[in-house]
Amino acid sequence: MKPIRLSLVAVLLVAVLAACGSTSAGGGTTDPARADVTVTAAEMAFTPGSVDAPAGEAFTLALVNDDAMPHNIAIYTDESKSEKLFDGEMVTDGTVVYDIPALAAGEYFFDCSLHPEMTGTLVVGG
Amino acid sequence: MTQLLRTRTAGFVVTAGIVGLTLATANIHLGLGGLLFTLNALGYAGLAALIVIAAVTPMAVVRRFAWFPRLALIGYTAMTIAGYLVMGPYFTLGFIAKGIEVVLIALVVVDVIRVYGSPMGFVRSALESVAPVLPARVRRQVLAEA
Repeated sequence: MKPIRLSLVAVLLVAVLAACGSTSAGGGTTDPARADVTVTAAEMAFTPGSVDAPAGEAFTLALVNDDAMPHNIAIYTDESKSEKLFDGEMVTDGTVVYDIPALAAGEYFFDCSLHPEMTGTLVVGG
Repeated sequence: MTQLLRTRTAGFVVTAGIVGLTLATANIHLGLGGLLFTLNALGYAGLAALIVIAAVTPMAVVRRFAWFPRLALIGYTAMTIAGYLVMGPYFTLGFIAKGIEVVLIALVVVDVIRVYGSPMGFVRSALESVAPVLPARVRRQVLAEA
């Protein structure tokens, strides 16, 4: 293999490995410690079950998955799930930081798309 | 082609492929956790066991009903795919599982052609196996149509 091709392969490999690190869904911070809100998924439940977030401005939400199975967070206007406002990517055994768009003040419902029994409340402006 | 499929080696390869893919999708569903996925995984594991039993048991009664695990596996897999398309969620592992399931259905169809010659041969064999328990009038009609 020619040196230039070898370099290209090395660059690609580094890019792939970098992409496999801590993920941020949609830009922003990748450090869960700096996220505005943190939710932990453990033993098929979200902790805390109710989280506060600022109203009228975008914020970051870290999902720490301590379970062996994949989880995500999907946010809806209410428990009827009639309108989905945000659908986070799945994370397995790790952490993902979501960039949540600005929401009006109020109470929102969130759950795991794979495990609808895992639910919580997002209190915006609370 | 059909002659090649009827060799013992081809039979072993196709059956091993079906069992392997069935256990692969069972394993994926088991790893997802939750009651629904766990039950789905157990269903796949049970069907894999039935496929193995149908393939290795020389008893006449098992041979007669060997169509059942194939039909059940096709139906179960198709229902799983349909359920996923309706409910989601759509993510990489889900798409991998559905890819496995599509190949699984295709492989069972190949197995049906290998064993019964054609889908019609499969239907005929299934109807003939249950014919003795049907009322005489229905039995005559069913066998005539098959």
